[in-house]
Amino acid sequence: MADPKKPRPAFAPWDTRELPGSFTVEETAARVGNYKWIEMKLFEVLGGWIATVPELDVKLRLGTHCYHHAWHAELFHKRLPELREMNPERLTLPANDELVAFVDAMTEPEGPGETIEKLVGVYRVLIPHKIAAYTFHLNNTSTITDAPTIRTLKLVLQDEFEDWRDGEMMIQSLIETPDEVDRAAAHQAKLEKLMLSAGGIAGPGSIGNPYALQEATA
Amino acid sequence: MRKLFPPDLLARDGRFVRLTNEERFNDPRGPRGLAGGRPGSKKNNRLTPDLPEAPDAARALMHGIFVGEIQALEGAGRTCWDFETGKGREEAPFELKLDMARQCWDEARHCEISVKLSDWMGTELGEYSESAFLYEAACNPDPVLRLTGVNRALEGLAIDVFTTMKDFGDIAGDPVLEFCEDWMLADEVTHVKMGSDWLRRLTADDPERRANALEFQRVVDKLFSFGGLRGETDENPIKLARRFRELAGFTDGEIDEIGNVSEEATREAAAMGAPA
Amino acid sequence: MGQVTVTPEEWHYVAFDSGRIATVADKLLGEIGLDVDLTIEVDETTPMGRVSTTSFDPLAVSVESGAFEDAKRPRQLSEQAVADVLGRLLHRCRDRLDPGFGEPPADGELTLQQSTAWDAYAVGRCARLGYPVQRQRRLYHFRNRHGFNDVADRAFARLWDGEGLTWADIEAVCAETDAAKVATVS
Repeated sequence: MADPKKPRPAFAPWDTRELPGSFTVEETAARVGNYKWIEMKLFEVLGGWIATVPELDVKLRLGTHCYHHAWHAELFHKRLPELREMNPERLTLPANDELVAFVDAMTEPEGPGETIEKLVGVYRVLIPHKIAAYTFHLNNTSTITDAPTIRTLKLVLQDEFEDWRDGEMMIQSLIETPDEVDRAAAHQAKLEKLMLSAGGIAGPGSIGNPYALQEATA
Repeated sequence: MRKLFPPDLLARDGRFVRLTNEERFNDPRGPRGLAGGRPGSKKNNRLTPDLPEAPDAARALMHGIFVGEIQALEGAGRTCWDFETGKGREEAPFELKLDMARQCWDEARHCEISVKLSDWMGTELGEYSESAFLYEAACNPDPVLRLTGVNRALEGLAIDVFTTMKDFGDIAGDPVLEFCEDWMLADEVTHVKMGSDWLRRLTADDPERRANALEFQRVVDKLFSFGGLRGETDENPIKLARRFRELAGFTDGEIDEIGNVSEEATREAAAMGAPA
Repeated sequence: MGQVTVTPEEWHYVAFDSGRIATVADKLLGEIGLDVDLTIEVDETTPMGRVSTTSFDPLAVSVESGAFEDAKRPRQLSEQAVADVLGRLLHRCRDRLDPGFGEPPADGELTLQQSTAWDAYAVGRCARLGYPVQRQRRLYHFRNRHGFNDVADRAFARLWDGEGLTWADIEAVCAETDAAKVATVS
């Protein structure tokens, strides 16, 4: 081993974390509040749907996934006071009214014959949008100052990817006819349009703006 | 999706057949003993492997546990959905909902365990009829009463049942049954403790609400002691599991009370024992 | 072929049909090769499911109504349950009436191990007659009485697949699984 008195840099040569990040403390808190809100809405409806779904394997997966999203809500809830929001409920908000409309439409199906619609809303629309927004946040926040949020997002994303795959496989196994393909696609399109209006789970800018540079120079 | 989902709409596939409470309780032949004896009869009815009918009785009980786990899963899920989040009387606090979501995961695993155990014991899913009265207790519109009915009464019964089945597996030398019941028992103690903790927290300043909740628990405990199913004597197929109930936050007085309710139910079963 | 009599003829507690029970029993008697009269006495006043052979000459069985009941529909008859219960019982009766089988003790004197082993042999033969039986359920019963180990499982398979076994074979199985249990404990 080298001389223990010999100075080493605080950042090892392989540690390329950087200070600047895209979000202020307030912006981060607002996004985290939006995340908590959508995770709550998701775990609540997954819990509610368990009784309405006749397919035994789907019923049990919903129970498991319900907890995953509740845990995500808890993680974001605990992060809020660390972002100077001592009353987490104050920031536990939807990004906008359009997102509320999306959640209302996503949570509407109830009948035992509507499992495809229930799963499409969650696994083909909402969860992909959550993954997108969380990934954007993860890749753009300061890797030094916002490390706790990054850690939370990584834990959450691991669940999201696995649940997404589970959900997609359940959907594929339930769709047996061309009509059911159409049903799934129609419901997905309806919800995607609502999500488009909302601009994503954290509102416009959920995954950044790829045209920002052009708009700034125009 | 509506709030408060009615029991008769619980979704099942074609293997499952639901019994109404009327069909369940109004059999003119009288109640059915779990371990082969007539309910309430003064004999050893405890579900133990030495009884000739024990393996089939254990299979039937295991199927009952399985459908009970499905309904517990559904009930916990509905508590996540049915109430707005908040601290108001008709709301459910955020942390309570988190506990219910956790319980959903636990109950889903219990269903998975039960399915594997059914395979092991040679039981087909849906082989026996299902009644929805466990879920009915999970439909109370007051979150405190619902938690008390489900987490203290029903999950408390689950402690008793799992303890009996774990002992059954131990005596019979069935390593799979004993292993599974032991793990599920650990979760049930957690769920009952959750119910005890939330009851105390949510009614700390409201003795009337607490009294109502405990009365509701008593009603549910009585229902689930039907036919002298559970109690402290050898007449009862399921043994009241005092030690695990203590771990779950029950006081000695509360356990005595359940014992009394069970005795009452056993006496009533004995009176009903003769066919109409 | 022999005559099947089912009592009662009229039902007050359950929605059973004596004719349907007799039809199932009659078919079984032929398939099992029992050319005897059979009386089936059903106690409809109890939902329990115990069954017993009360007489071998003439052949009579006593059945609590729960044994013939559809487990999904209380008080309704299940022909599958009738075939399951009577198939097992009648195979054992045929064994008793066959001098080549040997001399098993009376039913009331059988140990749980002996009874369960004999049941495995009986139900295995029902399976080969084409009746829908639950092999894993019977294996579970057998393991409860003979041990949760490979010796017991192999013995069960021999009984289940066996034809022309004798009481001595049943006793040998019991001795074998008993020895395996002792070996496991010690």
